[in-house]
Amino acid sequence: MKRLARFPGRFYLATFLITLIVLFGFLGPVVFSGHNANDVVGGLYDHPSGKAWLGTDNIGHDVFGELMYGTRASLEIGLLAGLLSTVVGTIIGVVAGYVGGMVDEMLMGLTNVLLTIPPIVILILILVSLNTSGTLVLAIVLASTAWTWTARAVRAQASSIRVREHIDVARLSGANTFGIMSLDVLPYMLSYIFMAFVLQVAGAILAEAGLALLGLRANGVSLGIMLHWSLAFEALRTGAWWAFVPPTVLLTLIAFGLLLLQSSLDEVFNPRLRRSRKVRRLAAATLSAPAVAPDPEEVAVRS
Amino acid sequence: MAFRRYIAKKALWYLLALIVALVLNFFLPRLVPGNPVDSIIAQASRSGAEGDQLRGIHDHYIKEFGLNKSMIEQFLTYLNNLIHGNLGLSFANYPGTVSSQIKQALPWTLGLQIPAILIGWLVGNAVGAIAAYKGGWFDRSAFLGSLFLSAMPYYCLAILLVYLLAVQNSILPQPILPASGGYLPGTSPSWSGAFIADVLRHYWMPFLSLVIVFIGGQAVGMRSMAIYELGTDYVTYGRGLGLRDRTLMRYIFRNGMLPQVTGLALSIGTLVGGALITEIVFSYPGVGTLLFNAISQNDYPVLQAITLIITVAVLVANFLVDLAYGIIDPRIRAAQAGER
Amino acid sequence: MSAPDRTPTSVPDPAASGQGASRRTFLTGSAVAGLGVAGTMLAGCGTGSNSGKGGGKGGSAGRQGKSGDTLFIAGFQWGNPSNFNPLGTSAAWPCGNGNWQLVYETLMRFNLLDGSLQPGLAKSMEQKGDKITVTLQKGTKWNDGKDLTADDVVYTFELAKKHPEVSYATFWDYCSKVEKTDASTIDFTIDSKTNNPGMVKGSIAGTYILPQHIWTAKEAKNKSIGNDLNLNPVGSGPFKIDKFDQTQVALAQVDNYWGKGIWGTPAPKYAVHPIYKDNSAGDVAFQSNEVDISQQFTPQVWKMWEVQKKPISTWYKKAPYHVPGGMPMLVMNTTKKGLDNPKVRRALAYCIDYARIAATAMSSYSVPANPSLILPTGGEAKYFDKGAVDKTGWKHDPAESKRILEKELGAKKGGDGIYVLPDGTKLGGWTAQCPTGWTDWQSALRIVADNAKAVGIGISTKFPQAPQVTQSVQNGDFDLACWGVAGVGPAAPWQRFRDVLDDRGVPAPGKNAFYNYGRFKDSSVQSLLDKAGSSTDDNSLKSALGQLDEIFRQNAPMVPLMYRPLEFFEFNEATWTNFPSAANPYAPPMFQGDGITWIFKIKRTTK
Repeated sequence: MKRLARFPGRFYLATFLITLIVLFGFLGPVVFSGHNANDVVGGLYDHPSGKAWLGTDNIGHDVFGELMYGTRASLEIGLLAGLLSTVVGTIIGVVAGYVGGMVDEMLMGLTNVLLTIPPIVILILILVSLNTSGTLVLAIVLASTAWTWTARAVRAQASSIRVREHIDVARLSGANTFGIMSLDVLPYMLSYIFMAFVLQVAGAILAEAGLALLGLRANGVSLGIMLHWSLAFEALRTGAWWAFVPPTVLLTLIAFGLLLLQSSLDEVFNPRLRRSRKVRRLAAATLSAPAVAPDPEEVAVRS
Repeated sequence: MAFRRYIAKKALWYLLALIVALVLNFFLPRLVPGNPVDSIIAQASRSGAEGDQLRGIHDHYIKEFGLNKSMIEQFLTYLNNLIHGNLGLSFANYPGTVSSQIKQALPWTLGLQIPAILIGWLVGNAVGAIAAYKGGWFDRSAFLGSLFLSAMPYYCLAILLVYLLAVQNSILPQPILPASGGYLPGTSPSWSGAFIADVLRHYWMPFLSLVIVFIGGQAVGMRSMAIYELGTDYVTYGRGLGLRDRTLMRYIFRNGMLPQVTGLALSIGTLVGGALITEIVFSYPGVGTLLFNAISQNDYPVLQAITLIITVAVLVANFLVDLAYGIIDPRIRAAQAGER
Repeated sequence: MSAPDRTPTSVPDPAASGQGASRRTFLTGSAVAGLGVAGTMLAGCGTGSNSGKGGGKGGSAGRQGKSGDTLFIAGFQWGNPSNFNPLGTSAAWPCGNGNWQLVYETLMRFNLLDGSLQPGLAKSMEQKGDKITVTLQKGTKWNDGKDLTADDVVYTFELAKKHPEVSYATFWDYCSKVEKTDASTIDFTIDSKTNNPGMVKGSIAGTYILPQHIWTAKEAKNKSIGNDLNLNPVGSGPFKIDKFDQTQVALAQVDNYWGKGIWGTPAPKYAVHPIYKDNSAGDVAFQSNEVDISQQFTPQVWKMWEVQKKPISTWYKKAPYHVPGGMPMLVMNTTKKGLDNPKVRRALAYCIDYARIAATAMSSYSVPANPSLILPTGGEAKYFDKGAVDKTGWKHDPAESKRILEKELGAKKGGDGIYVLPDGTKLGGWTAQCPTGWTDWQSALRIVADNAKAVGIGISTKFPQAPQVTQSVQNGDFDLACWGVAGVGPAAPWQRFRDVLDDRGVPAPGKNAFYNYGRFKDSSVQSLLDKAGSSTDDNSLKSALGQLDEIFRQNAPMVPLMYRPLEFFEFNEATWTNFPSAANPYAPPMFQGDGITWIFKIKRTTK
């Protein structure tokens, strides 16, 4: 881990972006305490003004206030769902990859079956029948369809680590399976898992926004809900750009920041992706996890 | 021998996946509260003026759709019909058939998705490869740009495109593109020149919103792959042997393409379900819109048929990729057949 | 996108013909709406294969050629037209009962401006004692050339006796006999038990008369008469179905309409209803002169003429733009603990900001709702008692709401800011629901939840799909809901009072109710309702209704949230002009009932 000193420039850009967004979502409501999501500051799509910096939405709420709380809600759901799916995916992946054999076959069979059913279909069905908008429930629902690709990717890693010498050493020294998995297998994949986690967060945020946009979550505050109402009340036709441009910009920035973070970390942890020859030579000795490029499953989550 | 065992094993797994999917297909929609008869009642009931016969209508349709039978019985009927290629009748557009609705919707989805995927794939890979090869500022800006586009939720892109191009606003005195639908409402699909021109005009918006995001994703992926290959031993070795860059690049891209081709195959598999939100946002008359309408009307037969088609498409695409890998690369075959 | 298209507030719902879900139009493609762009084919073109280029260059240029001969309509039909059977549940536009009388006609026609019944197939209707005598116009004919006679009328009503699944079967609860006295006269005998002439007249004005010679064959063919597709409907109206598919329902004028001598010939040769996926698509087409008249909920419609300078108008040129025709209700489940207390319900009624609902959720198409079941305008205005409404009714007054909660009920705020009654009942944890996609209702409920929370009553919103809401509302499995009651009509406001207050025929929660969803009970309601239903003079009716309205205000089982038009009435005069409006009120702003008359009077702007 000493080699981490060299962060590419885009890592700093990504960190800057994400910090800004997190500050806006979590500190914004404190700094701008005069702006709340449910403040009624005007009528139907009032123009931006000194009182409502970003105008009002279709029922007279302050768009600026909604934007802050919406950002916070999106981040919370993203983090929670990302955490859940990463934990579940990692556990299943490590167990399958390390234990191998029948357990591996069963777990990966299940994973592959679930991977084939498009998540969006399942998400819509579950949300229609649950009809709830609680953050935790939503996060669980999102995670329930998203853990699969993490599991598959982690399993590939774990099964490659499984054959390394230090594992044999641990086994010979009498460590039990759980101990080996958590102390000898997992630590070698932490950087990889963290990158998968970042992608899971981005995926969950966009999935939530998409579902909210469809009106499956028209309760509470979130960026997707803001988009839903702006479309429902025809802000595009009436020219109320302040109702849909701010959430659009924020969603894009969040996703961009996270993807950028992931790709720059990928270069750090996975030096073969770097161009410098010096580094490449150094890298030859280190672990060779394949690039965590946005993979098809990830794209499918957003569909 | 190993190859045959590999194929058999794969086929078995996909068969299992299909069975699980069938069961989920049938039971998941039925978990949704309310039943299709309620949506018919919802239409029929006007302010409660007709209490008694609402009850009559209710009982009548429950029987008509076989909803009074047990779940298992309904499931068996469903399987039996399926085996005979009968997708059944739509509840919501009773007595229209499910197949006729899907037949109407499918061409729109395929027509929207296949060109978007192919063009997005070609352009994206070209951009990614060139960026990896050229390096420098071109790489940096192409990479950042692609990453930005691929990060952009395509519904956000869709909303912005519509606002900029398809509604009267401060920039445009008149909109230049239609914002929704597959063709002008009121016209009927035909092969006339006027209709095709109209379809093309309606095509731009959803197509652009899909293809731009797709290009971004492909470019990022291809660039990573190419740079990764640039760092492999055979390249270093080849350089040492004094191979020309052009020759090396050919190898690099050929190897870098492999996962990209897989990605293409998989995205063609997911294409039916892939553009669900795009279709809904643009009211495009494809499978996605049909699916969403079916969900809100609890139209089980239509729901099941669409999810089945999507699942089968994904399964087939996956199976073909596995098959191809098995043929191309014996190592994969061996590894996956459990011979670690 | 919105309830509007699907108002359950009106007795015969114009939206009845639309097919389900799609009206939900859920995701507004608003984003996304097809725009007729200058110089491209116009919507109408679809009707003819050649159809020609529209002359429209934006602005106010009208359509030329065949599409210029066509009236384009939006807002009634959302899904695939699958059948044209008025006896079924999902007849396509315009054949669902209570729709526009272009194909099928009714005996009498309701006018919402004055509440009167105007001649249709019948030239007169008279009530003497328990008999209502209806006399047909001269020369009434079916479009296949056969005479339309008293036999057809008797047959049509008898159908509902034989087939209880027919939508107007409750007619027989209020009428005991329908007899023909000669070829053009029919006697309706009012049922002596229910004794409610208004409901009988409502059916006379709301039921399409069907040709016996066609439907006897259909009866023989179908187990259930509602299942017949009736794809080639033979009616008596000025239009017939020309063609239909998933994108449109196209009508063409019939050659020899029997009513030519009375009303003349409709100005448009064709009438086409393109099927849009959602409100926004329809609204943009409307704004682009591709649709001439629209029944869609269009937020901020005034921008179309104030900002975009389109030749578009509504009945009134300024707020509230539309004539009130119904009142969506906040229905409270009076069997739920807390909500069973009329004082709690009144406290809730006091906290709601009716003006904000009218201005935002209803896009200024409503004045703030009054605490009365009687509409303050139109034919019902004469029963509206402003003095009593002001004296005993509620208004937006959060302080009064708190006063009732604290002083009258002795409630105290818990740690979460929600009031708790002395017996421990928490005034919170309730959900208020309405179908998703019915955007104006959803917005109204969001405001109610906002308001309630500000006072200290905990309400959250939820917006399930329409079938789920229907089920839980009818089943009594809800806390609060936004739902419709009878709108303007021949049987209103009596029917509305019945819908809100009457507990006869309303089962306990667990079984479906079809009115009084909140299961309100009050012992004095029934006799007053019967008195109002049977009263023959305005004074006794007014006094009975006044007493009922007082019971309503004291108990607040439901709370009117806003007024909605019976049908939205928005017209674009690029191609057709002389639509009725407040400035030119020769016909009521409606499609159904007496609204048919304006189609004979509009004029074409282009040649």
